[in-house]
Amino acid sequence: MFKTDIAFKTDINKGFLPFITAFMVFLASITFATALIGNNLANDWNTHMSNNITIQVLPDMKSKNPQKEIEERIKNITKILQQTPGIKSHYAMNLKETVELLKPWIGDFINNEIDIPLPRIITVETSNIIPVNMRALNDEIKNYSSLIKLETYETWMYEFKKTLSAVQTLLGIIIILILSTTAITISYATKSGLNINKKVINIMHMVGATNKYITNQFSRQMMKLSISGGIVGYMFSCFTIFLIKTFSKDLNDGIIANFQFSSYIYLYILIIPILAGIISKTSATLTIKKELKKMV
Amino acid sequence: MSKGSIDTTKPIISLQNVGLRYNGGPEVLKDINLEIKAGEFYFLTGASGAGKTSLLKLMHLAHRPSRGKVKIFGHDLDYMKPDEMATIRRKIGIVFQDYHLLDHLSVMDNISLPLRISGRNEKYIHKHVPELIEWVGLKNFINTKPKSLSGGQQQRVAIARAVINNPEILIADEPTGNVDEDMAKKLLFLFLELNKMGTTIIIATHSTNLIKQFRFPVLHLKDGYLTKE
Repeated sequence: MFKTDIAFKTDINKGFLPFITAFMVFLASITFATALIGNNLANDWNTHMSNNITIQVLPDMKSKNPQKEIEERIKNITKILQQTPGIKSHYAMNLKETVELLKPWIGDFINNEIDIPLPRIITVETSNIIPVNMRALNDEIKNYSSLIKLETYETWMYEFKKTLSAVQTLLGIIIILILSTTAITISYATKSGLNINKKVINIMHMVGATNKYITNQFSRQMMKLSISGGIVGYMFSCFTIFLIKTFSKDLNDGIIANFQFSSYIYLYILIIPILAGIISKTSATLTIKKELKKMV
Repeated sequence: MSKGSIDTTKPIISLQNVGLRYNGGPEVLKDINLEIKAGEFYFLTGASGAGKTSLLKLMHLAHRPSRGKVKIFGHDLDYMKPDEMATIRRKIGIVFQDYHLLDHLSVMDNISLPLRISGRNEKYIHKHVPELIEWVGLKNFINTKPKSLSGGQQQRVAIARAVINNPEILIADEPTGNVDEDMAKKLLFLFLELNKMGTTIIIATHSTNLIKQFRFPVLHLKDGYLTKE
């Protein structure tokens, strides 16, 4: 504990400042955590999807035996894939699996025996080490048959990343706004603190205190108050993230299967109260220096 | 507490053709010319409202003159930077008429203030301050806040604060106004001891008894003009 000559105990800032800092740190931490979760999600999807290709084998509606022809095409495509460098594995869904997959849309009435020409899917996993020449593979498939389509997730991921990047920029702006508001609030709180302690400061000047001495006492106090508020805000945000994490476990199926975040997020958002402390000290110091110049 | 070798030939307080007015009002101090050398002892007298407090405020740099020059320790107030002003103020002990104690601090912390500001460590403070507190008769009030003290006790705290840092100049505005005669004499003897060790002393007082008893030169203010007796 540092010894202080200024009457902080009677200062209204003592209650107000930690509260407002706690609130600001909470908002900024949650915003920052959202940006981090978005980033993790994009990275997970990117890693997962960039190694996956889907090949759609369509039926020829004019054919007398489309099902048989599809099986023939799948066999040939499989051969092409086996000869393509960088293909790690591939799996052609059989008719039964395709029927199961389409049941939610088509209904229960179809079965394996019904001769409805259904498209078939081949899922392909590519190697992380050997890159696949997608253009060459696509050309080869097109040359073989116009009823076979190769689909990568690049376009979808590109759009997703573009949107995510815009959202993250927006979140970044929100964090800057929150921290700027904190700095302005600290500045006004400091001014009010200086006004409350005007008589004390005047006496301190009279007995030889330098502006630096008074500034140090004030800014240390402001930093102490904002750090205590920052810790409370941080703890609340950790608790909120923990709750979100706990309740989101039920959502871990389907499209948001990757909606998981590591415990490191609690460490990452620790930067927010630290940043708030630095901003508070800087803002308080600048304000005090400016105000004291007027008082001397 | 010795001040070492003191140059008693050069003035440490110098006021040349000084005039002072507040907010464009009439001059409260007029054509003040004064030179005080190191180690001198002066009483400052004058009727209420004659400008004694204003003159003392000029001497400890609480006000700037409306005209004329003020030099303390040879430093011209017109060219003084804030940090230089603070350094000079640390060499001046000041006893304010209304004490100017910090209400939220104890007697101990009020008296320690100039030492803390000068960068003295807590060990030094806890060795020297209680001694002085005992000397001014406030041993039992060491942790008391000023508001719980009588006027005379507050005055003694203010005096202790002014002398704790062994100042080169001691400026006191009615320092014995609220204490009994015995304590007044005791405090005057303290000032006398300080003066013997080289501290320059200027005391504003109404007490003719003290002036007669101690027989130091008197600066007299009347209608804003200063005369030396």
